[in-house]
Amino acid sequence: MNQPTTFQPATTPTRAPGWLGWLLPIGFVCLAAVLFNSSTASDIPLAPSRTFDKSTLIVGPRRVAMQDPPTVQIEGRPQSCNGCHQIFTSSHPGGAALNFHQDLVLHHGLNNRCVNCHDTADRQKLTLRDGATVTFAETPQLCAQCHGTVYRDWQRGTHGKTLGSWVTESQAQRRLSCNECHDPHSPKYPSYVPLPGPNTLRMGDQSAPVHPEHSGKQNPLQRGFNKPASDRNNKVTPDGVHP
Amino acid sequence: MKDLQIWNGPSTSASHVEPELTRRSFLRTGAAAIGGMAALAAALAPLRELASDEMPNLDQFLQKHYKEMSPAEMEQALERIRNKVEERYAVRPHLRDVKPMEGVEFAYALNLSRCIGCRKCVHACVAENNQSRSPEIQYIRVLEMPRGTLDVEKGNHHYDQPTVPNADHFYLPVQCHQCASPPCVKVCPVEATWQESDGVTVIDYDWCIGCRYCEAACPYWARRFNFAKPNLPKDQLNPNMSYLSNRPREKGVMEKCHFCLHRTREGRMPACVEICPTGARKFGNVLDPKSEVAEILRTKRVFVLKEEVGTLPRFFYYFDERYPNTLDPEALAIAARLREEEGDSYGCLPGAAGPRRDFIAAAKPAWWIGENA
Amino acid sequence: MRTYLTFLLRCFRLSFVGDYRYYAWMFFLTVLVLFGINAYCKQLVYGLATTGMTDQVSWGFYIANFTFLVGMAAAAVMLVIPVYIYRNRELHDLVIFGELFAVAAIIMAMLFVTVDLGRPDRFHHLLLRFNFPVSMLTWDVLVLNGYLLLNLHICGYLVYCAYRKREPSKYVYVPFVFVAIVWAISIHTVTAFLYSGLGGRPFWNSAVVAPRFLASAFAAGPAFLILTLSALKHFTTYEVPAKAFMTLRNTVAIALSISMFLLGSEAFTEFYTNSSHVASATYLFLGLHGRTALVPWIWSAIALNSLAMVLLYLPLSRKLPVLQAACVMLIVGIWIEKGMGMIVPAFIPTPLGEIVEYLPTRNEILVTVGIWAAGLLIYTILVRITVPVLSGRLTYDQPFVAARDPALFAPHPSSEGVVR
Repeated sequence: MNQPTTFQPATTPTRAPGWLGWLLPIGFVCLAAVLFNSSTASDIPLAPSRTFDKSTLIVGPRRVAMQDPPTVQIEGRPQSCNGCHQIFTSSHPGGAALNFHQDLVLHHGLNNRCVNCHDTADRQKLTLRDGATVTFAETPQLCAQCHGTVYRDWQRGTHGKTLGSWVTESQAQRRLSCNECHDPHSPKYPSYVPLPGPNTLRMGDQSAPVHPEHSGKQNPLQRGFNKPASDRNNKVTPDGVHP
Repeated sequence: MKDLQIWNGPSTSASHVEPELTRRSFLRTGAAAIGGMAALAAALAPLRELASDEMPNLDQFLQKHYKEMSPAEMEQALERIRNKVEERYAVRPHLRDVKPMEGVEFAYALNLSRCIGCRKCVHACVAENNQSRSPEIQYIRVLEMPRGTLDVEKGNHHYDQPTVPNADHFYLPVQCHQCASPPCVKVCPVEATWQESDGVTVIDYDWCIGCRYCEAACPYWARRFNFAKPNLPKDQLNPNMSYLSNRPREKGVMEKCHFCLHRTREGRMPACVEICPTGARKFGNVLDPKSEVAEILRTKRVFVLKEEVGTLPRFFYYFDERYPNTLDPEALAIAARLREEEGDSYGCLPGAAGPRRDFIAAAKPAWWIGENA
Repeated sequence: MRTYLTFLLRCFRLSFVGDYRYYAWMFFLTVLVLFGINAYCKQLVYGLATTGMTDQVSWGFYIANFTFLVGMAAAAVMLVIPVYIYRNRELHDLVIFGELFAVAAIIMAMLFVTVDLGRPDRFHHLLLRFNFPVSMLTWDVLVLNGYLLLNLHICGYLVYCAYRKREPSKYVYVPFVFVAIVWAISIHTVTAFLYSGLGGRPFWNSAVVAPRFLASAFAAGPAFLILTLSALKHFTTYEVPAKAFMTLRNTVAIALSISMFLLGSEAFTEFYTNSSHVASATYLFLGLHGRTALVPWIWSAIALNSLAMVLLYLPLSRKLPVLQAACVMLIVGIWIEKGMGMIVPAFIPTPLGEIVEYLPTRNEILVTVGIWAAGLLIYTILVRITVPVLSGRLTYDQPFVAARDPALFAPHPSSEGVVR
């Protein structure tokens, strides 16, 4: 440390002119004017609130299951099944094409024959594998023949939907049966139109796709996914696209 | 100008005379003081925009913490809130303080094989809980995740394709997990948030000071803050409210999912569980061995998110045995191939008219090499 | 008592006495403060949405400045240690300026926390239900207020004794000085623990946060003191010994080196491991998924800090202008690194992996600048009072006009023995 240890005194500034002192009140008054006139509107970028079809939020079973005894609407009026089927018989019970019930689309996995489930003798009943019949109120037993694990889960309450109350076996609790969610002829759930995604404050542009980037090494997981040439995205099902 | 001493260099004698107070100096000082006051008043001017119900209110100032209020004080607070809601929304709400049920501890389970990402839960929650619409607050976030990973960084929050579900993805909805060891409760400096006996982590909206420490602490990004005055259209108000859950909040306080305790503490389901079209969401009392959630915890392979953080969530995720055929490209490919190969006889049960099919061989993928090949 | 009230009144009057440069400086600061008040009133009316903060990035500029200023306040102890522990007499008078700076910095920090609150009208809830000792914020409230009271007591007592021309009693202030040394370390450790205890934020959940905070504080704080002592030296004739600057320079150099080392240590642990916890650090240093808003900031900070560190080790920085330049660089560098470079990246990406970037809004910057101006205003007034008292021009037995004499800035021979 070779620097001198004393510092020079501060230099003498020249005497300021007299009117300098008036700058202070003038400055304050200008400031007051600026502040008073500054915009009081907020500049918060608020997106307008979005509305969408409220029917998408109606609580209840997804569909109405067939009751027992079953009826269908023919020319605007409900008719019982046996009303026609006790009179008319089918020539090929195995695999005849439908003359009526053209609105039905059968898309149930490996099944392509009506009589896999419907009893040929009594159309108001459903048939099991061993020939026994069940009513339309007991359809879960029919489904359970092939979908045993799902039926087991449904009985426990881990598959399917419960409405009303979480209190087990209370009056208000209602477990939906298979056909209150699944169309028995095309049980696969249709695709849904997703409701609007998040649009939070100052979110920025979120449209860019997310690319995982990690050290340039490829994840072995990706090698197991062989994408076939066919388009598997969002097949339109017989149920149509559900809102 | 004599009182404004300009530096004249060090002087050897201190002057003992008070400088004269001239008229000019008095006027100048007075003008400066008045100018300063005017500038201060102008600076404070935006405060005149404060709405009447946002002005400080003695009742609200003296209101005690939820846990310290006597029933009479609670009723007084409820009445104040009812009046405020009626004034703002022209609807008299059914507002009460719902207490937890005895012998109940809630748990939530979500079947990731069934969630299709329709976001009905998100919007049913918003319709139920009187959140601000603009700026938008949603308690539930649904992530579109690619298969094979639970790393949420790979998820997409903003998917908006025409239909869901998207093949090769699964959907992971996240909301407050009501953790048993909640970091948000740990960090709150004023104890405005705590966990109740039925497991719900609640917030006293009239006690929160808005420091947002809990929002920084939550590992699941479950908490929301009212950065602006909540904007809730009158026709979307849900008048069925309770003090700790969905009564309309004010700006500057936190809020989050509370398992719809105004419904669940009276036996009903949360809005998200009720609306889910696939039954992916399950809710109930985990202390009841026959409840759905207890069955799930016993029989399904459940897991929690970010278990390593040690929060002990009561929100469990699980997958069913395998992806359902709706999401399983392999099963769809097999079905397509069989339809092509078998034509008319596709789908015949064994024993029916038509060529037999070897079911087992058909169920195996094309590359399978086994005893029946 | 009456003497004390007179003393306070004289202090008030003295803050309005000065030359045109003083008035220009104070007017400039007042203008900034008024703009800040105006912006804060808008924030009170419209809510915190007037800032750039969101649910995704819920702490931003205010908390960044708060963190930085708590560190600066802690650094006053860097003058206390050489004087009281190593008995370096020459720097004795300067301890007061360091502690006055600590007072101003703590007030600024507390103002930043207050403007960050969503409901400042519910401040009293902190007194009614205090989640101590579980919540680290409660620890922060206690230690910050305690530190403020400690420093006010020490400085107030010493200055008032000088005013009363009596020898300060060792027992009234020396124990508090030693407590203040430990307490200063604790205020910044507690602030660091606010962040490092959160498991949901892996960027913060690291043991190195507290040492980094302390090291960067002990670099930036003394650097700021070098600058304020330079200002004192320039605008008054108060004798600031060169030894003071050199001691502070050494402190800054060593603390900055430790701070850079810890930053490197953190960077190694994150990037070598390359786990999914590295996302926030990747965002900060390299950008993540195309979002790069903070990258130029952190690299500028590293460049400034490195350059300052090099300068401080060169003999070149013994020259005051070079030293001042190095100090400005490292203060800016540490402000960026500790403020925006520490607080904001922890929120990006969110715990659910979403990326929403953050930029302070105009309103937020106005409030911030207003609070900084208020702190500088307070510090200027405190120094404005202290210098005449310590020089012996403002004492209880002289008429007030003596304090208005420009010669007040000349050290009075009799003041040598007053403050010990």
